[in-house]
Amino acid sequence: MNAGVRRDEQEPPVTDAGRLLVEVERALATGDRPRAAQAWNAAYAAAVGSRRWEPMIAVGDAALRLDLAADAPGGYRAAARQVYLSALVRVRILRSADGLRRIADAFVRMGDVEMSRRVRRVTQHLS
Amino acid sequence: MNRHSWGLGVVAVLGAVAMVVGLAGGFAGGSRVGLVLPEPLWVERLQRVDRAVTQQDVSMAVYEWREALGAALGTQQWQPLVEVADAALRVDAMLPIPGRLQAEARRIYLSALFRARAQRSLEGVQRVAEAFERLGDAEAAAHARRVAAELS
Repeated sequence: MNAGVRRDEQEPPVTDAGRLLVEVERALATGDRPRAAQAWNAAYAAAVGSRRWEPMIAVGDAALRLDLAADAPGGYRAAARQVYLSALVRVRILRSADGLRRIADAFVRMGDVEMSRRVRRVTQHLS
Repeated sequence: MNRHSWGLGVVAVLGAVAMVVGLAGGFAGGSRVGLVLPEPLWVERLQRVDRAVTQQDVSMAVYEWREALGAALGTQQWQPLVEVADAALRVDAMLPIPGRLQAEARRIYLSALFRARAQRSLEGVQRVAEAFERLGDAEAAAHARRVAAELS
């Protein structure tokens, strides 16, 4: 059996993360935070499975929106940071300047200017 | 302002002070008859996590755990972080693919270690060392033990 083909078959389509993130937004709009969190968990799993950085960044952004809605902010912010760092690992492997810029912007949105600077330095090495 | 109105102002201020003191006295009296302070938010959220774990409600457990983490991060104390990291391991064991919250627990224990060290809490550092040992992270446990030795 070809292990590579099997992995691909198990991989959720990239659109899965997008669809689930729409569900996150809908749930947040109606104030249903547990449902939003459930959809976010599924979106996270789909993004990890996709092995692409774009869904990871989208999932990180959604985590920040969940954090804004939380009773005790901070939990999803920590998650967003980890998701962005995971995306960074992928982006570095792919040497994607666009990906690095997007992640640097994401850290700025988080207020982590130092991390954003570090990512931008990596971008300069690529170009 | 003439002398009379100035005098009324002083009386009003003294009256307000007396009211505040009276209220404080009332609260103090209340504590003598059993004033119950509310649980910290992180404790309340962890109780909800454990309820969700008992009910095998994975989504709710993860949701409440994130809320507990947010509340714990806001305290500036080491103990809430250790408790939330411990809870992460309980929730992680329920996940279809375990491991994600275990990785988060490890990072939270590290944050707890920083806090415990900054607060010079030997108990806190030792709790973190034990947690790392339970996780099988011998290197981090040894680091925490070194910090404990510095503090003792």
